[in-house]
Amino acid sequence: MNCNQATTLIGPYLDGELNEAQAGPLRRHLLACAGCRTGVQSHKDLQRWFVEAEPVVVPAGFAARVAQAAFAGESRALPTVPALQPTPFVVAAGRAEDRPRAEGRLLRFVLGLTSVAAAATIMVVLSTRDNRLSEGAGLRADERPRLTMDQAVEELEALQRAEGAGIAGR
Amino acid sequence: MEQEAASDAALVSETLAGNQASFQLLVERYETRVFALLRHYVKNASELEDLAQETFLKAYRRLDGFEGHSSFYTWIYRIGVNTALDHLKKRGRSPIASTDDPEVLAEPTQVEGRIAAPHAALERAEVARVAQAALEQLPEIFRTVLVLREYEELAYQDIADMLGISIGTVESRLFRARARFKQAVLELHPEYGADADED
Repeated sequence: MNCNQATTLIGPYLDGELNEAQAGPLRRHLLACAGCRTGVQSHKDLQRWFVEAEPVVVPAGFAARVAQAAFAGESRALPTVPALQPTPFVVAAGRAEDRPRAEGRLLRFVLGLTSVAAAATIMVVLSTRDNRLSEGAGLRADERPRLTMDQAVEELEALQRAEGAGIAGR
Repeated sequence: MEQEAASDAALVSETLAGNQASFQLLVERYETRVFALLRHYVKNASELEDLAQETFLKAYRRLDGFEGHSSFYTWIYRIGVNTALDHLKKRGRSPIASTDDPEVLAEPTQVEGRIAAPHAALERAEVARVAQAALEQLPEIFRTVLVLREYEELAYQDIADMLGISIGTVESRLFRARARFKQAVLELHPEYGADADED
């Protein structure tokens, strides 16, 4: 080890930052080199300048004020939560230009379902009448007047008109 | 577990869960060290308090980014140093953080003579005042490593982690910083030279 190398290692050595593999050669060099030993003393002298003037005085209540400010006025940089996205249907329904199409599909679906249910009801009524099944008291709980065949057909046609397309045409 | 015995990590978790008292405890635990660090950058008491508060509020806002890989105090020190350097920059003093700066990069010239250890008769406050005046002459990157090592007695690895530099860079910065500090003391106070002390 030469003096230049030793000079750069004196600081880390006195700071306790050298491992034995680095410190050993430095110590041997220092034993043999009076100039570098002076460097060690110079370093120690320098370090004695780094003193605190006086103890640190933290203002009373500092921590409480900071914590209060943090929780009251300051917001942490929380990870951003992605805003809830409307479902595609809602998006479609929410767009003015798409709304009539979406509503039309929904209306057709409901009316179609209602038509099928009405037709099924009529079929059940007709088949019951044809078979001349006895009408028990329990089956007469419905106080609505029974639809005649004409009334049922009229109701069905009304539904078809509302839908805008006749079931018979399908 | 009593709160006094709670680890930093536990206090961080409790703070993140919305516990204000836990955050207050964290601040109480580190306020003295943060004030001690920051007073090497600003002198005015109210300015110091503002900087310390800003440091802790920044820490609070970034608390969920604290992953516990480093100790909490090196993490808060890092925020404190950056806050202080930002403050100095806003005030018009350039932190000279770039290692491309030729003045910062230049190897220290051989300092004429050496400085003596402070004389025993010298008041502690006077020693601190001279040292602080010399520190203020240094580019900020040198001042920061000296403060972290000589006053805060941090290990090189902690300094490296805090500043995001290698241990080798810490060593070389410290070497140059000490030479610059010595030079600054001699320029400000030639009477403290070792040669002047002899005879």
